[in-house]
Amino acid sequence: MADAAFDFPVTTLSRPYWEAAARGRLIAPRCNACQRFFFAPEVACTHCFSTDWSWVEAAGQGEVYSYTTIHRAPVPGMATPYVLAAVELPEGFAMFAHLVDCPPEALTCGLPVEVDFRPLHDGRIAPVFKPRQPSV
Amino acid sequence: MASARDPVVVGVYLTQQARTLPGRTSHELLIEAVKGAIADAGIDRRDIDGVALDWPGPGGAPGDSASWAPYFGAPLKWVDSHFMDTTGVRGVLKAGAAISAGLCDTVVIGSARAGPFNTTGAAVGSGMGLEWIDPYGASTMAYFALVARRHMHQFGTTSQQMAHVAAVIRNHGRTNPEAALYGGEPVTIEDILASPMIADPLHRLDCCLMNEGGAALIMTTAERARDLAVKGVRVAGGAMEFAQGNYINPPLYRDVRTLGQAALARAFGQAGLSVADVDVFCIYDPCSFEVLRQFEMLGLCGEGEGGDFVAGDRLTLKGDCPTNLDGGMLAGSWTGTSQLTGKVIEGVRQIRGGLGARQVTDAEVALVTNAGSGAQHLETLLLTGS
Repeated sequence: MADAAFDFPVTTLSRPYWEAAARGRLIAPRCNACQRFFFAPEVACTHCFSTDWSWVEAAGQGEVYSYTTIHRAPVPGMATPYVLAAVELPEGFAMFAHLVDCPPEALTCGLPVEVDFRPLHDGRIAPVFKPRQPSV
Repeated sequence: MASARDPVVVGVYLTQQARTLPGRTSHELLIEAVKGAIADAGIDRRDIDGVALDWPGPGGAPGDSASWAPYFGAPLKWVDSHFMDTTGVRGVLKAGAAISAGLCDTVVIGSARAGPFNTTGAAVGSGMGLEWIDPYGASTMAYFALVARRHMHQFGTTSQQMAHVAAVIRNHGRTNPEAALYGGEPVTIEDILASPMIADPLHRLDCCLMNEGGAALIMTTAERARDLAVKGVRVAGGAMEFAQGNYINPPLYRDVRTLGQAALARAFGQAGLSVADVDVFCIYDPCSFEVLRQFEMLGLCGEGEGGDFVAGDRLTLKGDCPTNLDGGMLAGSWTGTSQLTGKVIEGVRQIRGGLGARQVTDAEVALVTNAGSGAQHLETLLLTGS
């Protein structure tokens, strides 16, 4: 179901996610029955099948589980190369995200990252991740 | 244990497979494949009472297998229309189950593609956008690359080891006149590594083809197969395994690791066989990495040891695991769906024998796989001659 508020395809399920991203917040579904996060948003919790869940803000700190530098984009209009990562969050879910501001030699599995928000090729603001600055 | 209703593959046909097939349409290509498989089986088209064929159109509801009814023994007794069920191992297992259950006797399975691929980034055949994939440019190869990269990180698997797989299979295709990449100079590891990067660590030549072509096959009961002139190839075992729906979330190596192992155990159990009995390996090869992972899945080497295992001549006709001797998808064909059937067809042909230069001597058991870790599902089939 398209949503008039966005010029890219959004469903009733995902609308709050993209609205939050546009405001610079990373939110994810957390089940009110089992208290566990899951991702992507689904009608029912993928852990316990409950349909009672809420959007909850994630801390936005994670680790790169794996990554790939893509030189051949599957869709027109995407500038290459870009780094696609599977990012794991301590809240207990993993998600696709672009990895930004990371020199190629620093790319590694396990890299600590933090969320930022950038426009994607279709104009939407999306959560991306960048290397976490060591806290002093 | 063998029953009169056990499913047997009796007819196979591959159309020409090429980068492009100018002037051809998906529908007409599939008709050629269907007629070819019927002729190969030596049956009459009106013997077909079950259909799992794509319906590319134009005309009719897209994909609706029932649209084929007028060409066969209408009214049909069974159809399956899903684009993943009209092809490959999944198609064979579902049609086989329908035959065993007595829902129908003779089934045709197949799909074909000619004409430009769309580049919307949607899953092959889905015809729809993918909300959690499209914005990130997460290509199918990116899925496999994420698994391969983590495997490299954990086990030290190298690009050279993956390139070796790609070179071996591409060289198999070079000598198969039916392969899209038939002919040309031998492919080396250096060629693979020198080809442009697609989704690091996968180079262009680590990745399978995208081309045009079609495939179809015919299955019937063991009882009917006995009356045909062609040598029937028995579906001795098969199983499926699904980790999660594809094209939603990233594949995590720790989830997909030896994905397919549980399905294999079930398939070997049904067939009363073990992996040591396999003479021919028809391994799904969307990319070089997935082949070495599947040897880990098969338990022929330990987890993380696939890179060493596939070295040397092991995957060639000279080795103990002859793999994708037709060129697989790396050099043979990948059309979106019909390559899934192509894997089955190579297994059937090896069991039938007479393949000439690429024939595995006295092949009695062929293992076929479809999909893999990046796709987060795996289907497998054991084909035998008796």
